[in-house]
Parts: sequence; C-alpha cells; structure tokens
Amino acid sequence: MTYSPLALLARGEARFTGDLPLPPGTLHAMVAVSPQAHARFSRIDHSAALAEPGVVAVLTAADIPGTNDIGNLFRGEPLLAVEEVHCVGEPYALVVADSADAAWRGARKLSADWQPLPAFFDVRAAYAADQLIQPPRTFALGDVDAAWADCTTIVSGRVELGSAEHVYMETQCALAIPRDDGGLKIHAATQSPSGVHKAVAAISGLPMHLVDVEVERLGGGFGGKEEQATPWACLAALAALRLRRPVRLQLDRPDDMRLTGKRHPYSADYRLGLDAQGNFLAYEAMLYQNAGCTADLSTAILERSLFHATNAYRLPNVRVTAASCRTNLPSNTAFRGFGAPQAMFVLEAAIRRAARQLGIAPENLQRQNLLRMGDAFPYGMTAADDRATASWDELSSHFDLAGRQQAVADFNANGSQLRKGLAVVPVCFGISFTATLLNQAEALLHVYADGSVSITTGAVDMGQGVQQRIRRVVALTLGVDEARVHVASTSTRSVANVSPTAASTGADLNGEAARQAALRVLAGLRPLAAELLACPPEAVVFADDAATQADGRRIAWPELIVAAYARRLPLSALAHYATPGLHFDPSANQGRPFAYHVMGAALVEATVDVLRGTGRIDRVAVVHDVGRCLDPALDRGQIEGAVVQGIGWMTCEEILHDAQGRLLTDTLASYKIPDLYDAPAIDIRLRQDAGAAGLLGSKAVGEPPLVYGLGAYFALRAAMTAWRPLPDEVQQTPLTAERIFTQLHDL
Amino acid sequence: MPRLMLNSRWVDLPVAADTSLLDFLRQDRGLTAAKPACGSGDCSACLVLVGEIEAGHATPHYRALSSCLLTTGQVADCHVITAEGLNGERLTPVQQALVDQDGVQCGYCSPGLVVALTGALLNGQPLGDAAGGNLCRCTGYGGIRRAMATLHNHLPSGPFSLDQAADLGLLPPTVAQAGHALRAPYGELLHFPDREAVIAGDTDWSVQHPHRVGGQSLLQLHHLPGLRRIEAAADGLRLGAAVTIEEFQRHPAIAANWPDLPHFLSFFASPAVRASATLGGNLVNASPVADMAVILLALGAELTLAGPQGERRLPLADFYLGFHRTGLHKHELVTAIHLPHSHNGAWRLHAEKVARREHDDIASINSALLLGPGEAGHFGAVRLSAGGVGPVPMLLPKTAEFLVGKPITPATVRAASQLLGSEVAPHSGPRGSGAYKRRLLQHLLVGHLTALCPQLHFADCLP
Repeated sequence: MTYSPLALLARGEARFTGDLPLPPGTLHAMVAVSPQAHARFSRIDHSAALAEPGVVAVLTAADIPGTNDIGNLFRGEPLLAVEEVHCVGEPYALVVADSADAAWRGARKLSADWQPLPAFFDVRAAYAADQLIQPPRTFALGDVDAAWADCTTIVSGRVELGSAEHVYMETQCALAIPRDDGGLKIHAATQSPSGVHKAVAAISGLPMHLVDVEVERLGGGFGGKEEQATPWACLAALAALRLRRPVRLQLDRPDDMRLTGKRHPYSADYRLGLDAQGNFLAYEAMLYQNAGCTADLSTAILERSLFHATNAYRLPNVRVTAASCRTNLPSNTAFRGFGAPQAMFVLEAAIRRAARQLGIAPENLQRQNLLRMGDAFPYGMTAADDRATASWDELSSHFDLAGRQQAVADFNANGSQLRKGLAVVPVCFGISFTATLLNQAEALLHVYADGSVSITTGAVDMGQGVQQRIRRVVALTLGVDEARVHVASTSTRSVANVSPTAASTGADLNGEAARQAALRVLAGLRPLAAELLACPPEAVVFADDAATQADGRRIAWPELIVAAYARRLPLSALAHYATPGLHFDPSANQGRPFAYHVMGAALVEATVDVLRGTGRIDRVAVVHDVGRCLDPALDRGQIEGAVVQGIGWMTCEEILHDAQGRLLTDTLASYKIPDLYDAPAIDIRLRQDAGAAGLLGSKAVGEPPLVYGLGAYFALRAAMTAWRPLPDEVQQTPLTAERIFTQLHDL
Repeated sequence: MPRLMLNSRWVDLPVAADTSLLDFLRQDRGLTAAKPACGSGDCSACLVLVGEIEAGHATPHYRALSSCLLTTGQVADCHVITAEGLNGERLTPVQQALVDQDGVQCGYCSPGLVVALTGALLNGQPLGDAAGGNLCRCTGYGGIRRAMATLHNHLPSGPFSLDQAADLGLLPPTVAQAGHALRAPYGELLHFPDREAVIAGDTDWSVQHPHRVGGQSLLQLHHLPGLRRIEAAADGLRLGAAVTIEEFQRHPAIAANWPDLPHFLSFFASPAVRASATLGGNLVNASPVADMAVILLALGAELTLAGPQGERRLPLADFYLGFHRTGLHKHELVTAIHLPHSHNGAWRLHAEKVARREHDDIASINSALLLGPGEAGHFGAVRLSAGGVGPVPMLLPKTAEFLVGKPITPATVRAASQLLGSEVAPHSGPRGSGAYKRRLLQHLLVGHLTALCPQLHFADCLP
C-alpha cells in the first residue's frame, strides 16, 4: 500500500529530519553560546563540560579544518566565534555527547573569560553610531523636493515595527554521516540545500563533490530555514568529520528561539504629500532596519523593502532611503515577505494619517491612488495593467465594502463596550529573486521501464505544496496520470547549485525546469509514437496516459516506454531554466527585477473590547490574483496561512529582550502565535486571468498575502478610534492587549 | 518491571520512571509520529491518547495528553495510543478529512491534531474545543476547520466505545481490543515524601526539568483514586486534590453552583493540559497568576493538608506565604479542596482574565469576584481576588469590604475602583507594566460588577 505525501503526513509516517532512524553509534551535538551581547573572550574552559557524563568531545573554532566562515552575501560570519562575540546566543563551542540531553547539559557547563564591550540594541542608536552593514540605499522617482510645493496636505510620522519569530513547528535539525571516502552525507532541514552544500564544503575543506546534501521535507520554513539552517548542518558536519561518527543536532524550542534570527524590526520616518483633490504627489521615507549582528540576508531584505515601499499606489515623486543597521541581537533573517511588508506598513500608516487629517475614509484615498496601467515604479518597471483597481473593485463589490462600513458605523453607535473597525489593504508584490542570478533552476527527470516517472528539483517542500505543483506540471506535460509521477527529495547529487526555495519562486522556477525536462523526454518519444501510430510526429498528442492521434488510435504510456527502451531512446533528461528578461543595475537602481507583479486586496474587520483592552479579528475577505490557477486548494491554503501569520505579527506576537539583550519570549508559553480561536473566518476569491508569466500561466502565492495581515493593525486602530480620537503620529506594532489598553486609556 | 499497553500490546518500561514519554516513544520505540516542537505542552504536536480505567468504571477513558510533559511513570499500566497506532490500511475518517479539506500543509502538527480529534470523537466532545490547543503555523486553521466540519457532519456523534470506534474506522480493531486488557488502578497514600518529588497532573515538572539526567523517584498522585473524587459534603463540595481541571469543569455540581464557571475555564490552558493538570497542582505550584487559585480564593476554598502527623484544614487565603512559597510543611500534601456551595445560586461568581492571547495563555492579570445576596439595590457580601498583581494570588479585602452594603451605583463602583488602585502595587514584567496591570484590575472590577449587576453601564463606572 502506498500513500500520497499528504496522507503520509496525516498518518504520522512521513519522516522529518529528526525522525530519520539514526545509524548505530550516532552522537548528538549542542552549542555553547555567548551569555554576552558583545564581548571579547579568552580561555574556554572545557573541563566541566567534559566531566558531564556522556560528553565525548568539545570542539572550538580551532577544530575547523576548512574556513571558519559561513557568510553568504558577505564574508566574515564565523561558524564558531573566535575571540569576540556579537550577540547573546552566538555559538563559540560545540559539545558532542552520546545523547542529546547530555550534549545540552554539557554545553551549559562550558565557560570562558568574558570582557564585555558596548552593545547596541536600538536601531536608531546604531545608525547614529554608524553601525551599518552597508551604506544606505535610496530608490527615487520624479522630483520629490519640488513636489512638496504643490501639496496642499502634508503629513509626517513615525513607525516602529516589531520583530516576529518564525515558529516553524519543526525546530532546526541536521544529521551528518561520514562516508567511507572521507566525504559527508548531510540530511538537513533547510530551504537552501546548496547553501548548506557550499558552507559544509567550506568549513570541511572538502570539494563539493564529496559532500551530499539531502532534504526530504521541512516542518515549516517561512524563511527561517533559508540562511539559518546552514550553521546547524555545518556544526553536525564538523563533529562528524572530527569524530568519524554520525552526529545529529536538533535545537529544542527555547534554544531555537534564542539562537536564531527573526523578522527584521524596522523603525521609519515618513512624509506624504497630497494635492487638493487627494492625489498622492510626494512620498519620502527613511527606513532603519535592525539587522542584528551580521549581514545574513539583511541587505537583500532591505532591497526588497525599497522595491515595495510604494506598494500598489501611484506615487509620482518618491524618495525612500533605507539603512541596514548592525545591532547586538542574533542576526535577523528572511521571513515570508522579506522586508516588503515592513515598507508597505509605513505607507499604510501615512495614508491613514492623511485620511484623518482630511476627514475622509482611508478607503477613499486608497482607491483613488491605486496604480493604473503605465504608472511607474521607482525601479524602472511600470504597472502592466489595471489589476490593482480591478481587484480592489471586485473586493468592494463582492464583499460589499460600503455595506460593511455602514454596519461598523451602526454597531459603534449602539454604545456597548465593544467597538468595531475595518481596514482594506492592497498588495502589489514583485515576483523573482531580486538577485537576478538566483532566478535559475535545474530538474532531473527519469522515466523508468514500467512507465513510472521520477522528478528531482531544488524545490524543498515545507508545506507550501511545491512538490504537488511540480507533480501536476510534469503529469500535464507528459500527459500521464499524476499517480505515475513521484517527486523525489532534493539531493545535491541529483541537482546541483540550486537556488533556495524562497521568494515565492519555488514553483515558478523548479516547475518550469521540470516542464522543460519533461518536454525533452517527449521530444525523443514523439517520432517513435508517430511511427507506432502511423501519423506525422506533430499529430501525436500526449494525454490521458497515452500517446494518441486524431483518429483515436492510441498507445498506452507504459507500452510506449517499453518500446522506447527497446529502441535505445533516452528516457531521462536534465533541464535548466533561467527566468528570461530579468536584469537590474544596483548602481542606478533601475532595470527589470521582476518577472511579474501579484496584486490583490483584503478587507479586515476587527472588534475591540474597550473595557478590557482586548481585540479580535472578526473576518477577512480577500480578492487575490492567481493567474491561471493550477491548484485552487493549494492557493487558498497559502493565502489563509499567510493572512493568519500576518495577523499574528500585527497583534499577539511580541519579541521582548531584557536590557542585556537576552530574549525573554523564548518559549511558546511566552511567545504566542495565533491559535484556532484567534484565526478569523477568511473568505477568498481567486482572481484568475490568462497570460501570467509564472508556471503554466499561474502566479506565485507564498508571500504576497501576508501583507493582508497588516489590515489587522489598522482595523483594530479604527475600532479604537471609534471609541475616542487617538494620537496617530506614531504607530507601533504589535498591537497587543497591553498597547490597546494603554492607548485607549491614556496610560 | 513496569509496563504499559502501547497501541496493541504490552511493552516493558525499562527506563527510569521520570523519563519523558515522548523520548521513550521516539528513541526507545522508534515511534516518531509524536513530534517534539515546544517541550512545554504549549503546541500539542506530541499528543497521544492515554487510556485508563477510572474508579467506578469498567471501560477505559481516553484523554489526549502531551507526551512531552508526561513521564513514563505516569502512564505505567495505562494504554498509550500514538498517532501511528491509529493507522489501518485505509486512512481513518479523521486523517481523510484533514487530507481532503487541506488541513495538512507541512504536516508536522498533523499527527497531534489527528490524536486530538480522535480523542474528542471517542469522548463525544466538540471538535473545535478539543483542537483548541493544537498550534499550526501553516494553514491559518482554515483547512482544519473545514475538516472538523466534515467530521461533524459525516460521523455519528459519540461518545464511542473502543469497539464502536473501531467499527467507524477511527482506530484498528487490535488497538480497541488492547484497551480491554486494562485493569482498574489501585493505590493509596502510603508515605509523604519531599514535595519536590511529587507529581500530580505532570504539566509543569517536566518543563522545569528539561534534558534531565533522570532517575529521581517521583510520587505519582495521579494513580491514587482517593485523590480524584468529587463528593458532596454538608457544607459544599469536597474535591480531591488530583481532580483535573477538566473533571472540575465538567462536573454537574460546578455548573449547578456557578453557571458561568465551566465556560470561563475554557480559557484555562489547552485541552490537553486541562485534561491532566489538577486543582491541587495549580494551587501548590503557587504561580502568582494561577487561574484556578484566583477562582478558588474568591469562592472561599479551604484545603485539607495531610502529612505524617495527620490532617489539618487551612483556608486557601492563608496558604500562600510568598513568591512560589506555600504553607505546606515538609512531607505534607494537599489532599482535598473544600468549596462552600452557592446556596442555590444566591452567591454569584464572575471571573475575568486578560492575556496576550485569549486562550491558552498565562494571564497578565486575572480576577474573580463572588457576590452574596444583598438588600435590593445594594451590594451584598463580596469576596474579590486577583492574580498577577502581587507575589501570590491574593484576596483584596479592602475593596471587597468597601462594596458591602453600598448602593449599586456607578459612583460606588468608581470609588471601589479607586480604592482597588491603592490596594495593589503590581510590578512591571514581560506580561505588562505595573501601571497597566493596576488600571486593568480596576477595569476588571468594573467588568465583574457590570456582569453581575446589569443595571450598571460600563462607561459610567470607569475610574
């Protein structure tokens, strides 16, 4: 009996990295980490750790045979700290033991001499002290300085956006197994198999062909396993190399929360100018990104903030500057949306302040200023069509925006201790890696003698269903039953130099490479099928699990494959795909960085209990652009999940540190993600259209809908201001119960 | 050697009794469907069904519990059904509904969810309540809700015996059969060990002892039927200290006395924790913001403490001495909690809790108020309690006294609220600033009084 991937998961039989049976003699590793936010250190004392029963070895940077550097965008990110640490939780030694519990206990017994150095946690203080990952970057359009003179309304304000923990349900995990030839086999829970591949090779001093990385599936990723799965795989590899034994490293939840980076908090100042008719004329913003202690992906995330600072709005004169600031927190990293939602929030805050000043509903201002076909983005592209207004109008009419506005007003007139509010948030999200070189993929397709098909790509499934999309595309392309197609786990032996499964591009890139591989095999089969069906090659149709021709004659797929093998035809293909037409010049900040834009809009309704200061999100309605929908269930599931993740970021999820930079919210008891009760009903309309540039005309769906969650903040604020007017010059997330209460009651 | 019925057969427990059940399943038995995800009972990814014959019953009762919290000693002689133990050749209706309705994305939380929903079906509980503690980071819960609706619409409603459940395909017949082999537990309190080694519901000890060496001997109160009874006494109810929150919540005498209390308790922890955590454990743990302590304080509970020197009775209000310190003597145990009854509803209770997340979260503060019968238009006797505003869960007698006999008017409430603000001096912490907690408590007093006295309007009563 075989089961589909989803059935395997439901049966609890699907193996995650931490579920893999351990080879005999497997050891377990855990890191010893800095207790200081910034310090020099000397004299690591191994003795107490080595005395812990079960501990086998303590390794430090001196034991690294290759290069002690796992930096990707920038060099200088050591696997194990040498002489200086830059955040609480930075690993400086690795304890290896015969059980995970013993390794954990041993790691806590390691000590060193620490000489504290000054530390930065506040992003503006870091900026003022010139603690920058790279010089600030500016995206501009039009002449913003001249435009202010034409504005009749100018608002300015400040935004403080909080961080968020990924809370992938499966914590970071890797298993490293030494090979007989001196190489390593790595099982890693990573979104970036080739990132792990390169880094393990670098720290081991091995050529990449002696390192195999395999990724079966992830228990959630959300960006948190794009860059930051790498150190754990490298540490397991280091121990396996040194001790010639298999080594597993899996973080427990509190360590995972303390040691890994999170969504970048942003601080921002904005200024928005409008003419007398309410048209946006000028927008200026300064974004301060809290990068944490290393670059990680921060500069790429910053760039995506700049690309998305104007969201779905027409802004003829813009200047947005963004600075990635170094602080002494664990290095912040990719998280669904990759900096875009932060930048979009700033503009949404500005729009609401302007609407209040003008005394009109924000929705009127928003609708009036949406992008129209031909409007310019600040980076050299223009809006290809009127989907921004079309999706807004579909949302407005289908979900009766005017009726909902009236219902909220009526409710608020009844004088209870509850107040309601609503907000609409549009999204315009560019699809492609903004680092153009990453927009490539490879796929390896085999047709076996029984007609079954295996496809391997770099796409890692972490719940987003990318393997199901690839399976469907291969089946559609070959014209065979989906049951014939198996999507194999990603292995760097089968596909090389793969881009991370990230930026919502997993299906577009890997699905297209898979399609190309399938087409290549079909091209070899077509003449044979034509011969067997006695028709011209171009008349052969591959469909319904057979090759057919116009008069209905057919040859079943398995028979065709048997015949092809007998004729010594190729039944395997390796294909490569690079998204065409992409280019971007980072010196001028101009080019065509995106294959296409995804558009949509959402209506979020919320209720606030004025007495207790508690809020809840009642309902979300979404109109979202999916192109030619390949799988409505997958698209809907991605939208629902992203919306709730966005709501959590805006409401109940709060990262707190103490004054020494130690994480206080380091368990799921103290860091609360939305539960079944918090998640609102979400009504979704998938807007289909033809001609999209994604996989078979479909569109990427992973990240853009997270932006709808921003509506939770603004809907709650609308409900609060229905109780009484509140200052709106500073907007701060998350809008926790405490913040709602203190704002409502002037504490 | 101790043993447990694991899915369909008895297996020995060759490990220390304080070994984590989750570790035993995954490492010793190779059963990896239960997932390690939080280690603190906060996500329900590691749920298993634990069946045992309860006193007075012939067939086992199954509870979905977090295996990361349980020790193997706690489940000795019990029937543990893991998520893979539910598997037959075909998908179970629960698995099928989750697959069909897109309730599975990354799938890491799915086995725990399957266990929660299967347990709810067995016990005839509402599915939504049963899955309330299962965190999912992928789906936004849409597909999970659709799956629950499908199950609700297409399966007969329980409770089901194991054999009936097997007929419905919820679990394999061999597993149902295994449940028949359980025997009723027996045991009595023979010794009074150091308090550190006593386990009641086992929802906090494991959290406090992560990655432990193991080998401590633990007294498992859960196995003592005498501590798990709820009995009517002349002056009210006598609750065994090992009665679980859920047993308390569901007992008809509780709703009969305090109709709103069962609903309020649904905000207490997760279903899996409520099914395991005990009244006594919540009190002895002495968290300053323990939900149950605050309720029992307002209700005027008394405790029976038993030790080598015999039994004594102590008002709960006198039990707390300081931050996480109680008046328990060494070797002494809380064995029972005594609640006065409500005099046919004449005494009314209202409870409030505000937390970062509405369900399954530690409160920023909580409070309860018991209002006795009074003259028309006037407050009767009042007992007011609060948690999170001091080192221990506390009564607030000044404010309570002030209210007694006063006219039920907004002016009275405002004055009481003013007084309340001076009666507490909460500290700032991760769950809120001191100023926030103080003002919030004043508002919760308004919440109590407007709920109990509908003639009051909240806006007139705000401090």
